[in-house]
Amino acid sequence: MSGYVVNDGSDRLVRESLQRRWAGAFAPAAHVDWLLLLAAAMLTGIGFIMIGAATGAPRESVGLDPTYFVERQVLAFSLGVVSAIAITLFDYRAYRAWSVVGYVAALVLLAGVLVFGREINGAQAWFVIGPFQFQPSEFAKVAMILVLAAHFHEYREEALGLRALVEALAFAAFPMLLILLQPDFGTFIVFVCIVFGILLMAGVHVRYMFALVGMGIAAIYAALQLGIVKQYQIDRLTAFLDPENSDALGAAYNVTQAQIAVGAGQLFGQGLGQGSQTNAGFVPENQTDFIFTVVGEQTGFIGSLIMLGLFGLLIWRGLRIAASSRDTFGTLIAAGVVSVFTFQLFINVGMAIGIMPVTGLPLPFISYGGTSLIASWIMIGLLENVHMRRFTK
Amino acid sequence: MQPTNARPPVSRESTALRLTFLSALVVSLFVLLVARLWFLQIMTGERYVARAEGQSIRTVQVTAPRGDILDRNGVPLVDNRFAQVVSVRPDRMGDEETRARTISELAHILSMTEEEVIERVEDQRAGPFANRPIAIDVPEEVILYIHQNSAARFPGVIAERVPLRDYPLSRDNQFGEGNPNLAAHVIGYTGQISAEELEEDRYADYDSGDIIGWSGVEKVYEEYLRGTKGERQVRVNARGEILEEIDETSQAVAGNSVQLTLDVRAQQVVEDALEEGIMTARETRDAEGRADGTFVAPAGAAVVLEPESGEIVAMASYPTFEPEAFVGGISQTEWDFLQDEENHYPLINRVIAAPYPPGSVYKIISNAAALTYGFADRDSYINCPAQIEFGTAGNIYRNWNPVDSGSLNLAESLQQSCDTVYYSLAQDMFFTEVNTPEGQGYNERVFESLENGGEEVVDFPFEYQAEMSREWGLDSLTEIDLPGERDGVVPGREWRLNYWLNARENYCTQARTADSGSYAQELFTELCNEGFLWRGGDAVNMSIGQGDVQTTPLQVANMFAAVANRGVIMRPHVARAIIGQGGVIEQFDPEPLRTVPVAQEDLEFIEQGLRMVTSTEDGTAYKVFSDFPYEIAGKTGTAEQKPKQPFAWFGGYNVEEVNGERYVVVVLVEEGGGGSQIAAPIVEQIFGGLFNLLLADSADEGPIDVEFSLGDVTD
Repeated sequence: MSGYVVNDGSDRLVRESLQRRWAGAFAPAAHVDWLLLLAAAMLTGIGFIMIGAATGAPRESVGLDPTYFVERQVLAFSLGVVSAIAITLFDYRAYRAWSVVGYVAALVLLAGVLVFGREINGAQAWFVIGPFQFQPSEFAKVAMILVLAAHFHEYREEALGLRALVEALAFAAFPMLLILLQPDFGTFIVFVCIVFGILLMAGVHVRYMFALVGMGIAAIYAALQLGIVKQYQIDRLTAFLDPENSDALGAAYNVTQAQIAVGAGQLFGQGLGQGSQTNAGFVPENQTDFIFTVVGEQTGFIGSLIMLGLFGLLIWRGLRIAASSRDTFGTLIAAGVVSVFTFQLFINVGMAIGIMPVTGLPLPFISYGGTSLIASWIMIGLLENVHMRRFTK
Repeated sequence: MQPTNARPPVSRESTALRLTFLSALVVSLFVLLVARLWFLQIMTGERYVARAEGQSIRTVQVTAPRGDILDRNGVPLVDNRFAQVVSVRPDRMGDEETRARTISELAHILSMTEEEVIERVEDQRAGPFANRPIAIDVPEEVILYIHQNSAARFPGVIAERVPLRDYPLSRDNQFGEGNPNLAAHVIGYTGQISAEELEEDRYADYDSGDIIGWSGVEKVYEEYLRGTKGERQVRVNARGEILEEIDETSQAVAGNSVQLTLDVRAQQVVEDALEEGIMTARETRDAEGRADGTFVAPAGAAVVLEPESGEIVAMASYPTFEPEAFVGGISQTEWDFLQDEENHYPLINRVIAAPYPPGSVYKIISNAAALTYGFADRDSYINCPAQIEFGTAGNIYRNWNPVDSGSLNLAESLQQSCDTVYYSLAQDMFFTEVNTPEGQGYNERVFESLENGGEEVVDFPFEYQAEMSREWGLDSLTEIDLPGERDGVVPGREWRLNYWLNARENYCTQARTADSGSYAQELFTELCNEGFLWRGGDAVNMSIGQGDVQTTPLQVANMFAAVANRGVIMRPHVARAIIGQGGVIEQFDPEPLRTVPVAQEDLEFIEQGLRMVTSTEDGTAYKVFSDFPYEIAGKTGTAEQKPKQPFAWFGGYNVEEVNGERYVVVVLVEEGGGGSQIAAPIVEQIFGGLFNLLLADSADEGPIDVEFSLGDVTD
């Protein structure tokens, strides 16, 4: 029987096997989390609108190109999307091996920026190359997430002892120290949050977590007592508690003006480009760190809710990806990314509405700033990567 | 088998639990944000809207144009134009570095030097929070450039369109060539209110930076000329720069116009004649002249008055100035020029603010005193020798004319301006005064009073010349509606005593410090001890308008008006009416100021003397007026004020109405020579010009052609 069945369809089998292999390679693409993409894309779009609303009219009135900032942000967005696609092309598990390389590269950049970087708004956090500025600490966040996730992935089957924790803290300590030297307190806090998020999801014992929090509080207390932190820095950090009576005039002024702007937005906002506060220079840095004042003043409570809703959607998808990941590495990546977005959102919006101290920190996707937008999209790429390959054996 | 010292690997359940915890954390953070947003935007949003508007909406005042100043025929002397003005608020210019950069940029785009800009920025006359104008009539493109770069490069710089004073007659006009000085002293000038003025009650509702009248009609009629500011609401940015106009809450209302009694054509005639006369004086030889033997003639004044109404038809003071220089803030250099003694203070209106010894024009008063108080009558003849001796010391007092003129009646004494006639009369009056109960022992009583500390009040004798002078208003303000008027000096015993009491200390110090045995020591010792004495010589000097008597040209004009009106002096004034949008708001009717206590017949007699001055061969101004077609009653005056050259006076009026008008014209030229020589020709010029204006409308008579020619050197 087998003798004469020569053309029994082996051709077809070969062809089908080839097709399966081809399809296998692209199979993850079938599992893209479209809601996550939609949320990120819409937030980026809102960012363009808000940057335009913050800078267009004032720039036009002094004869400058009104779309300058928006155009640069669109350019950064396209770079971000390309990076995100590139990230998803390779199975994220491959990044485990490379995470240390990324980590070292990040350390080199962070050290380099202290030497060769330019100081902008009091922090030496920027490389300036021609018309472009590049903030290495944004990429350091990604490298940090990957290296900690890889680290705890190694311990997944073994006991998660003190050793693993200490090693993880050692990994975290170097970049965080370099960031403190810039000094960029906001980014430092974000790193703390990344570490917290990953330790939490890695299953570090609760008592260690409490111990860490205790040590953190002790460290802050010691820093204050020993005068390592200057009084003006404390004033700036605490100005938000009572801005009207604060001695830190500059910081308190910003806090007060930001709150007036957001409050004056009321339910529906004053209309795009119509902010009496944000378009008249009362709120400084309102295309970058204080961009939420533009959202609040010009689109009101409704607009703010829509933006928060999109963030909520994005974070929910991130948590879902963490839960459904096929391995610990994926879970921890997702947890890290979720931590970045969650805490950066909370700190940034919180400082604009007077419930958090003022620190220089962009609002992900919304604030003007190329490095931040590209890094955010890289993190979206990582989330999608984990999500797409959740069924891969 | 699991290691005993390790906890089990992370289980799926543990992961789920921790995820739930993380989710709960996320949710709680979101709840916190939303709750705070609800509080800020919904619950207290109104309050923040109010706060936002409070700091971003500002009420800006809109400068109102001042009212116009018109001549008697409605011709505008002063109105307004709108101009682009660049000014700065020094308190908003930022730190030193920014300020220096801004000034440098401003200088560049305004084509000024940095020094000029700094001078204006640091102008001490403006209040600290007032806009300081840097440049006016700035081209549109420069204004646009400043607006576009205001935030970044021009902090504290304001570019706006404001109404500014304009002087249409300073440019060529329907009456001929433009005259930038026309009636400058009458209309005055404007400037920013000073910090001190802001404290005054009359400026209670003014703000820093407001423009007010600083002098002249601009000052006196400030309350009418000043408009009502408008208000508009604008949106400003954090730097206080205006982003957009929201709405005009109230419109600026222009001030009311002031119609003057001045006639711009007559004013031009007077200014031309005065200047021509002064220029001529400067080329006229004087034996005692300056280095080149001519008169200095640094300054002069001329006024034309309607005696029946007191209306000032023209008023000129030389040197003069351009009111335009004050528009937009006068530069320090120009201000210093106007305040420099070498330039003879062009801002002073010499018609009202400069008292001079009147010289022989004062003989009208002496004459009236003699007639009224019975020292002579219209039939009296008094000798006019070349000189008389007077007093125990035998001092000699000379007539200006070194020949004996025989016996003259009082009219003829005016005609020939005979000094010695008045010396005799003054002598009579002095001895009569000394022999009254108050006059007897007056000096001794003063000495006694001084020894007792000067507390005792001494009675003064009735003084005929001084009393008559006061009756004619020579030591009072004429109450003209112009600022800065001076009241002059009518000397006498009381005046002398008070003057001496003030000056005694100084006299005595000088006496002590002078070289022993010198003339100065002798003089000051005498002044120190008995400088209060009113001697016969003083009375004699006063009778011909010398010594301490001082009058303004306007007071002299009033003297002639009193004769022309047969006793009544009207209050001189320059404003006729206030005119608003809907017509006349307030009319300033003529009002009598005083009536001189002189009999009609005596005034007619005096007028007869004044007519003879110009119409008879023996008259001091006959040469000047002999071929003038209208009869002028006038009087020359040549006041000595050694070591200066003589001050030339002439006053007069047309006896018969010309086209229904009579004018009193008075001219004074400081150090200009004899009254008949210099002042009379100027007055003739003025009358000629005035009558030509009056006759221009009637075809009956041809124009008067008056060539300026010097008069005789008389008195």
